[in-house]
Formats: sequence, structure tokens, C-alpha cells
Amino acid sequence: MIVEMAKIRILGSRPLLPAVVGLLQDEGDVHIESRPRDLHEVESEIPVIRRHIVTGDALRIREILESALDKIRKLLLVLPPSPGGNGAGTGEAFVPPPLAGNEASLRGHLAPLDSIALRVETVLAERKRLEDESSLFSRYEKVLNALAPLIAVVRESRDLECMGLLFQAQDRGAAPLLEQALSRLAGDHYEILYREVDKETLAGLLIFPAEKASEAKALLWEKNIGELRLPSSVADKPVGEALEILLRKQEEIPGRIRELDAELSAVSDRWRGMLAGARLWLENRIGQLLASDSFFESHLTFLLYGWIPREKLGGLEKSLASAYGEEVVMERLPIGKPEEEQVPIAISNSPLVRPFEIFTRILPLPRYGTIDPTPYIALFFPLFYGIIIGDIGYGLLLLAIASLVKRRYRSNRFLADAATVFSWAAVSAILWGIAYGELFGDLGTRLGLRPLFLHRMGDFLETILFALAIGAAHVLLGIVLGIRSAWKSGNRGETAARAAGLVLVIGFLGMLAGILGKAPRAFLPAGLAVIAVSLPVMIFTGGPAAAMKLHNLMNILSYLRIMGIGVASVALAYTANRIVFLVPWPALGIVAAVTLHAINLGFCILSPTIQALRLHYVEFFENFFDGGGRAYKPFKIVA
Amino acid sequence: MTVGLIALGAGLAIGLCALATGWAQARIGAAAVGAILEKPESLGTVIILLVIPETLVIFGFTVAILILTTLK
Repeated sequence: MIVEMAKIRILGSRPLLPAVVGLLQDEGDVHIESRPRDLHEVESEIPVIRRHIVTGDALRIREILESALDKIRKLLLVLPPSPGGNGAGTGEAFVPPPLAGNEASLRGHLAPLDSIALRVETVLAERKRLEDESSLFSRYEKVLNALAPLIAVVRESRDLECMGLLFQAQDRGAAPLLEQALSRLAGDHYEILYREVDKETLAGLLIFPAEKASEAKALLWEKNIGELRLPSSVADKPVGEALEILLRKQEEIPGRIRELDAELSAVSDRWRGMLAGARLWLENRIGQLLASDSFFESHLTFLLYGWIPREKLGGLEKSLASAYGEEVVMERLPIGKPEEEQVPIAISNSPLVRPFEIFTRILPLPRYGTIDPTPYIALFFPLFYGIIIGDIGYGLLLLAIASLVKRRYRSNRFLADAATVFSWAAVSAILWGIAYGELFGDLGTRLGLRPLFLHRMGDFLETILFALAIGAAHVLLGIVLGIRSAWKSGNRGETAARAAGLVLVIGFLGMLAGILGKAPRAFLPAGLAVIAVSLPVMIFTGGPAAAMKLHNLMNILSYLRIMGIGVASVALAYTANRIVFLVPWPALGIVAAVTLHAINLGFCILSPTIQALRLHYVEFFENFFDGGGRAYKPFKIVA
Repeated sequence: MTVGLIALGAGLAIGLCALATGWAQARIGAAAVGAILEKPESLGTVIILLVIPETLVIFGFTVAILILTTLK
């Protein structure tokens, strides 16, 4: 249900403003209104009233706090978690600066943050450089490993130049040709050593007289043979030396990264607790400063508008009175009709109904003064789900799955709520399974179970009529809720149109019952007469657009899906059971049957959920749900 | 012969409706994925839009059952 809200105005002595902000934050119940609708009236009554002016000093302090918070958030993001995993370290604790402190004292208090940030940034920058280097070297790893033994036998001098070569599989034939060309160029004054890198690549190390190096490189280019390009950090070094450096670094980098990680862990152990405490303090302090922006003031007083749940009103009144006596006054203001759209929405339901809020949370919040549909979903969702599945076996399995999920994910609110919802839905499926006499399809019948209410695979017409009856009841309830909403909003024309729409649907249903022989024949003319009267009334009171409400008749037909999906599910279960007798090998038949039942169970989780929700969202809500409410966001301490 | 025609009629009733539903859902689904990527909070609305064409196949199924009941 939508929590009843009270509109409040707090007036007090201006020097008390920071203390009152702190008290409101501690209480955590007031949704501060930054754009009150009746401000113009107040401004005309008290001409000196103006929005609270943030002074230059206060702005600078806010900037310092925001900058510190930004640094802390980044630090907490990059620092490793403490060994306990609770986010808090065992080292330094945060000591909040005095509230009355000036800019200089605040800077002094937060100064250690800069040195921690600098230290962490330096370590992270070094770590990143090493990681980049390692990633770059890893691309050379195979080639380096292949060439390493050759490097050991090569000793370069100023007269010799060493070049790394790479031959791809398709170019290997070029190696003898290259050697021939090299011997023409330098006679016997060259050496070329080969090592297999992998099936695709052959690496070579070419040692050549330095004065012929440019001609040798031209030759490589001419023969289209790839020269090993080394990373820029060692590109100026002779190949042998460069490869040795790369190999050495490759070995050193992991150890150096471990050292840096240990340094980060040490910083985290010492400072994480302090940083977490400072973050909370800063978030709350900045929250207070931002909240002050929504206050109004004159020379001597401050003024605040806000919303509070009506049940919390007394508590706040007492807190203010005991803290400030008559220096701060809180008054409750009436909520005008045009203001209702501005009232923040808080939803509060009983523990039984609350899990079903997972279905209403994906919709916009309802407007104030309208209806929270959660209790109706809590009633009808399990009902529809049960009517669709209607099988003791599937119900029991679903109940077991829901219980397991609930136990396993107790800390995950969404999953725990979903598991509770499906537990109720499964119980409903079991009860309807008893009514239909179904246990894994017709296995129940084979075991002697008999339908108490409907045999879905035989009584097709009755099943269709039952689905339509459920639909009629649900849609009529939606129309009644719509009438109540329209009445509460004071729109008499709309109320009359909706009431006429209700009568019209009842007339139509009566006429249909007369036609189908489910009611005395007199229902046919009586229903026609009701339609003939209610239709013009509906259009006259609600305007031509009210004719759209005739859509409710189609909406009732849409509930046939309860029958359709249900019968399809039973048919699949029947097929699974019959497969056992159709397959020549019983073991294979049983495996096939179990597989088909498992598939059906999967459908049972997904399809009835979507269909039951659709019946709520589209057919049921259409008549009364008015979305677009503003969320209630109380000003409170961040914990 | 009559039984065969009745069965064919029932098959056509559900088959054609299923094709229409599939065609509509394919188009809605493609647009829905784009909408969710741009605006993840539209998931609820998208699910509603996606299942709306299923009414067609449900009606087809109901008509098929009504046709088949004439066999009794």
C-alpha cells in the first residue's frame, strides 16, 4: 500500500540551520522538497524570504570535501580488499574533523589523503608499466625462447651486426635462396642459425659484417623475409643484447609485480579502514551541505519544506522540540489537489505481500492517492499460476526448487523474494493439481487420482468457460478499483463513466450466459437492455474516449490464455508419459519421459509467470493503475 | 473425409495464428533488444509488449479446440 505522507514546514532561527540539518539526517525520515509549490505564497507573505545562499567559504569547503571523496572512492576502488574481506582494514581509524573547523584546518586534516593517493598512484603506474611491458614481451616469448640458446653462442663486436629473422611456414623455402644471396654478398663472412619456434614459424639469427649491414637488410627486404622488430625500449640495442635484456626482464617482471602488490596490500591494511570511515563521513557531510541548498531563509530565520510518512510525524516533532524548544517550529501543511502529483511515494506492505513487490518495482511507481497493486498481485499471481500449472508433481518440484534457492541466496533480496513468490505459486499449483487430479499429467490418474473439479484434457468447453469466468471476475475487480480511484480523485464524470462501464460488462456477461444456456433465457434481453442503457451513459459522462472502455470485453477473452497455456502444459506431460510405452526399450522410454517432463517444468517456470504477469499488467491494471509517482528519498545518514 | 477436414481446420486455426504470433514477436523482440540496451529500465514494458501477440495463438488454440470438440 502507498504510505500516507504529511507535508511539513520547519521554521527556525538561522544560526541553528546546520544543527537542524544534522538532526534531520540522524532522524532519516524527511524527504526534503527543493521546489515547494506554495513558495510564491510564502514569498508574498514574507518578502525577505530567499533561497539559502551558500557563501564562498562554504562552497570552498564543499569543493575540498568533494575532491577528498573523489580521491577516496578511487583509492577504495584500486586498493585490494583486506584479508578479512569486510572492506575494513585493521590499521588507522578515521577521526572526523571538527564541524566548526575552517578551510585551513580541514585541508590539514585531509592532508594524509594526498600522500596515500600519491603513493598508490606511483605504485599503480609502475605496476601498469610492468604489465604493459610483460604483455608486449609475451608476444615475443616464443621467439625469445627459441633464440635464447643461440644468443648464448653469439658474441657481437663492432665489426659484426646481428639480425633476428622470422620465416613463416610458406616462406621457409626462401631460407636456402637467402643463404645463396648472402654468400654472394659476403663470401664466407656470415653465419645464420635457425631454431624452430612452432610449426608455423622458423626463427633465425643472422650474423653479418657491419659494413655490409645495409646491403644485407636490402636483401632481406628484396626476398620478403621478415626482420624481427624488437620493442622500442631495446630497439637501439644490438639484437643479441636486446634479446638478453628482454629475457632477463621477462624473468624479473612477475617478481617485481608481486612486490608492488605486496606494497598495495600493506597500504590497504593500514589505511582501508580509515578510508572507508572517511568516505562515509564525507558522504554524509556533503549530503548535509547539499540539503542546505533546498532551504530558504530570511535575515534571521530558515525555512524548510518536506514530506514525511504521517506515522513518523510525531517522532520528529518530539525530537525537534526536545533539541531546540520553541526556537524551531514544525507545522503540518494541507496537501492541495494540484500538489498530489508532487507527493513522494513510499510503498509499505506486510511481510506476506512484500516479496511480490518484485513485480511492481519493474513498473513506474503509482501516483499518490491511487492504488498500489502489490496486494492484488500477491493474491492473483499465485492463483493464476496454480490454475495454469495445476499439477501436484510439478508443484512439489517447484516448491523444492524455490526452497533451495531461498536457502542458498538468503542474502540476495531479489532472489529470496522471487523464491518466496514461487513458493506460494507452487503451493497453489499443488492445490489446483488436486482439483484437476493431475500428477505429472495423467500419471496421477494411472495411480488412482480423480479430478475433483475439472478434467482439463477432456472438459475443454468447461475449461474455457472457467478461464473466462476468472477473467470476468479479475477485470470487474479492476473496474471497481478504477471507480474507487476516480471517486477518491474527485472526478465525478470519470467515476460515472467507469461505473457505467462496469454495468455494461455485467450486462454483456449476462447476455452471454443467456446465449450459452448457462443462465435463464431471460438474461439475453435483460443483458441487451442493460447494454443499451449503460453505453450512452458511459459516453455521455466520460466523453467519446470512454468508448475505449469497451476494450474490457476483449480483455476478458484474453484470459483464455489461462486455459491455453494450462492445456498445452498438460498435453506435454501426457505425451511424456506415453513415450514410455511407445519406445521399445523401457529404460530409454523412461529417460525420454523424464527429459520431456524436465523441459515441461522449465516451461512451467517461465511461461505461466509471463502470462500471469501480462494479465495483471495489461488487462487488470488498465482500469485503475496510474503510474508516474515520484520516489520517496528520505534525507538520511549513509551507512 | 469430414474428420480429416475438421482436423485440417483445427490445424490451420492454430498454425496460422502461431505464424502470425511468431512474425509479430520477431519484430517486437528485435526492437525490444535495442530498447533494453538503450534503456534497461524499460524491461517491464518490453516484456508486456512482447507477450501481447501471444493472444493470437491462444485464440487460435481455443478455436482449434472448439473445432475438435465437434468431433465428439
